[in-house]
This record gives sequence, C-alpha cells and structure tokens, in this order.
Amino acid sequence: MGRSATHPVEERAIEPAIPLAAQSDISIAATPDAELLSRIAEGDRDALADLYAAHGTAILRYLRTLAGDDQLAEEVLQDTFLAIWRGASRFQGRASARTWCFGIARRRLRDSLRSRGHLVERLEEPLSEASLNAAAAEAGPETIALDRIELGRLVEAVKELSLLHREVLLLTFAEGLSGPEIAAILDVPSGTVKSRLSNARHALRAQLRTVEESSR
Amino acid sequence: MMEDRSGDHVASLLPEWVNGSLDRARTQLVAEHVAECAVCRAEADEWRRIAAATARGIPAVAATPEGLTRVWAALDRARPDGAARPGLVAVTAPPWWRRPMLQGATAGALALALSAAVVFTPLGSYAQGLITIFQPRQLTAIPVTLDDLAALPDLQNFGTLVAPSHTQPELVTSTAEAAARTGLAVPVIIAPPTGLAPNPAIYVVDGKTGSFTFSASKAATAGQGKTAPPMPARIDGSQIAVTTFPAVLVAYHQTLAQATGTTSDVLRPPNRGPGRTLILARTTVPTVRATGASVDDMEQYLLAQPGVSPQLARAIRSLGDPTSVLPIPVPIDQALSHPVSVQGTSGLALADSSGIGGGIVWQRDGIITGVAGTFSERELLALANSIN
Repeated sequence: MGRSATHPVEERAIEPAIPLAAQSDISIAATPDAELLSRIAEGDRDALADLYAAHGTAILRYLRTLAGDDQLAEEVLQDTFLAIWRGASRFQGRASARTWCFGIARRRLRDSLRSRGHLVERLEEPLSEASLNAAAAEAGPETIALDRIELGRLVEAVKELSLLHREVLLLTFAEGLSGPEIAAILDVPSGTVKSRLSNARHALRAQLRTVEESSR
Repeated sequence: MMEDRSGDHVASLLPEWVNGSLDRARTQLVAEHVAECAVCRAEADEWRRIAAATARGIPAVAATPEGLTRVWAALDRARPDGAARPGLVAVTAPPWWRRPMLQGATAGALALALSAAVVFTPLGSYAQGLITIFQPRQLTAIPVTLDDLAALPDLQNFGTLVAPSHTQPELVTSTAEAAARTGLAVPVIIAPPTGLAPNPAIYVVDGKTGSFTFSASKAATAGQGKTAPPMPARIDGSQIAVTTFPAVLVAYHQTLAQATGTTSDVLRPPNRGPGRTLILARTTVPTVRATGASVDDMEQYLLAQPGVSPQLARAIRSLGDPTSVLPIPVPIDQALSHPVSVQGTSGLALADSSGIGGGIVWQRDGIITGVAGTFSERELLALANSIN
C-alpha cells in the first residue's frame, strides 16, 4: 500500500463515515453483532456475510500480525468464519460477539500453526510473564520519553517487539478493545493484560534506548 | 475509595482511557486524576504516541469478497444437500459476492469475481489496488459527540482553512429539474407510507470544494508552551482538498389530516413525536485530493495533537486506511448503527436511540443514497429497497 512519506498527487474516492454517539451504554446481549450470531445459528447466510463485512478486515489484520504470513492469515480467516458458522449456537453472550470472534480466530491460528508443525510457543502463555518481560526488566533508568520520538521510528520499534507485546498493543489501540475483552481473547486474567501492556511500553523504551546508544 | 484515586491504580487504566474503552465512571475518574497529575499526563501522552504508532503499523489488508466466497464453497462442499440449488439462489437473489456461485473457485470464476468487484468499486479507488476492493464499499460509523467536536484542535492553528460558503438547499419544481441540475437519478417512492403527502418537496444542493493547507510556522506559534508534537517537514505546505458533488434531497412530509390529528393515532407510537417525515438523499461519492504528504500522514499528525478525545481518536484509527474512508462528522447525541444488506449491497443502518427515527445509507457505483425519517428500521429498510 502506498503509505510512503510523500505522494505528489493522491486522489481517491472516499466513503462518508457517519459518526454516531458512543455505544457504551448498550448491553452486550442487545448488540447487533449478537443478533447476527443468533441469526447465523439459525442458518442465515446474509447474517454471516454482514458479520464478515463488519469484522472480517479487523480479524484479518489481527491474524496477519500474528501469523506474519499473508496467505496463512487469509486461510485462517476463512477457517474462522467457517467455525463461527458452525459454532454460533454456542455463543452465550458472556463476552461480546466481537471478542468471541477474535478468540476463535486466535485458536484457529494456533491450531493451524500446530498442524503445520510450526512452533506455537510464541502464541502460548509464557511460563511466567517475567520471562517475556526480561527486556523490560533490563531497561534500567527510563530517560526516553516516547512521546518525543519520531513516529516513524516508533512504528519500527513496535514491529520489533515480541509477538505477545505486539498483539496486546494491536488489540488495544488498533481494535479499541477493553482490558476484559482482551483478557477473554487471550484467555488470561485481566491483570495479565495490564502488566503485558505496561511491559510492552517498557520494552519499547528499552529498545529505543539501545538504538540510541548504538548510534552514538 | 481513596485507593482508586492513587496514581498507580489510574496508571494501569491509562491505555484503556486512551483507547476510549473505559466506562463512563472510570473515564471521569481518570480524566480528573490526569488533570491534576503531571506524571500520569505524561504517561497518557506516551500511550497516545504508542497508539498512533501501533495503528500506523497495522498491516494494510482487507477481507475480500473472494474470502467469503471460499467460505461458502467450503460450506457447500460440507453440506451436499444445500449445494447446487440454483433455483433457491435465484429466488433470494443475494448480492454477487454472497452467491455460492464460485464453488471450486476456479481461475475463471475468480476473474469474474474480480471484474465484478471493479465494477462495484468507486472510480477513484482504482489506485487502491485489488487488496482493498472490499473496503471502499463499506460505510463506517464512527462515534463522536458534540463535546468531541468542540474539543477538536482548532484547524486554524495548523494552517489555512478555505471552507466553502454555506449554501442552503434550493427548492426546485420537478424531479426533471433536479435531475438536470445534479446529473443524478432522483430517488422517489412510488407509494409513500400512509400519512405522508404523495408530492414531495425536492431540493438540490450544489457541490463544493474546501481545502486545508498545513503551515509549520502557524503550528509553531500556536503550540508555544504546549506539548504538541512539532509538525514534520513533509507536512508543511501539504494541502488536502475535499470535493463534494451536487446532491438531491426529496422530502415527504405528513399530510394535513395527520398533522391536525383528525385521523386515528392508533398506529403511531406515542414516542414518535408530532409529525412524520421521510427524506431521500442522493449524491456522488466525494473525493479527497492530497498534495505533498499523504492523507495518512496528515491524519496521524492531527490525531497526535492534544484535544482529540480518546474516543474520537480510536474511532478514526479504527477506520483503517484513511485514504479509503474519511470521517465526516455528523454528531448525533445517542444513536446506534450496524451493517445491513440493502439493494443488493451492504449499507449502514442508523437509529436514534430515543426511538424517534433513523436512516439507511448505502453506496453503489460511486453513488451514495440515504433514506431517513421517523420510521422503524424495518420500515426504512423496506422503503430503501423500494426506491429507484
């Protein structure tokens, strides 16, 4: 995609996005997504198509981030929607429908990697969060203010993070999910999500500090 | 609840505060704490920066119609009795990309799907390439409130805004005149719902262009003493111009009998208010033209400014590639939206949460059509499917 710094001329047809007020007061059970799932459970293909239109791209970019492989991500996306079609009747509304779909995508990817003989440790819960966060622990005095770092460098630094750190950042800031929602997708306690986010930030600082020092 | 107000506790809520996913009470709690605590304020700024970097680094991919086609193919293979029933398919006539016609996904079938995708894609988005053929057809709702808009950084602090003059819709005498003035097929309803006068008022609105040119010197002056990030050199002097095209509005109002209450009100729910209105609107998809930096760069720069609420920033980021979706703020206080299937394409249903009314919006062949009024979603959807 043309995301380079400059485009001499760029012209696109665009969609109007109709902004609406926040939907946070609506209970999970009453959300349209949950309705779509109950229609899917009854065999309504239009409902699955609507769910795909609403969340397919978000799930695909999540899978792409985790898998690091376009073709595999595409395959798992289709696998995920097949699983949603077959399993919609098991959706009980304990998590939001969107969270439920992301959780399925993650498990399908893990199964798919495993069946191909890939190592899946990177997607599994580390033995302790401490092992994951070794880099963060070694960060030492934090003298780097991330809000002063040039955005392009920070983008690159995020890409260098461990998979679990990138995952939690993506779910939080690209998908806008809450801590409890992310905890449900990852199947970990809410506190783990909080510490993982915090450690991702420390790891970013550590990494940028290393780059800074080595460039001197 | 003193411990809830401690810095540690609030610090662990900052990512969710920045992404707008906290409930109202905790959003308020964090906002109050951050207003007083410089440490948490600096930390929140860092999270915003990380949020911007994360959003920018997400892979530019889009779920395509072919992906869904492969899901249908797999389903049909698994359920032989449901496959190869062309009669059923023809009766329900689902949109092309939902049809299980590409069973086996042969090269020829794929080519057919791609050519259909191009036909359905707005002309200007050819440059997007095949990867996003699905995305430009999506209408995306982003949540904003009036407070969000009031808090938006004043654009004049970052450059020069040339806003088009405000023009009122102009009443015309006939659909033919409206068609001649706008070049659009004027949407009409053959049989307006009971209570609405059959002769609508027809208006046209002229197209217009607005532009904004970034200026680093203006931003530096405005940003003195604040923590606003400096304007990157590539953005200085860049211009973004939005062009809208002529639009036609067709407004059906209630008949006099309904207005004076001389007919039975039994069919009208009590919360529907005094009158019913139905408005059809149609226009050509607007275009955005950027010179200098990319639209993405400009958007990321503006999002990083103080004053953009976490909720709004999250919503804008969640749109994905901003060159295919541009948010046009139309604040509605409390409303809901969800995707719907309308006229064989995917659209967006909007509903006012007070139950007074709502709308359906969809886009096809580069033309946006909307139906809005004091009706239920089911009624609006039926009306949307009935117009030309």
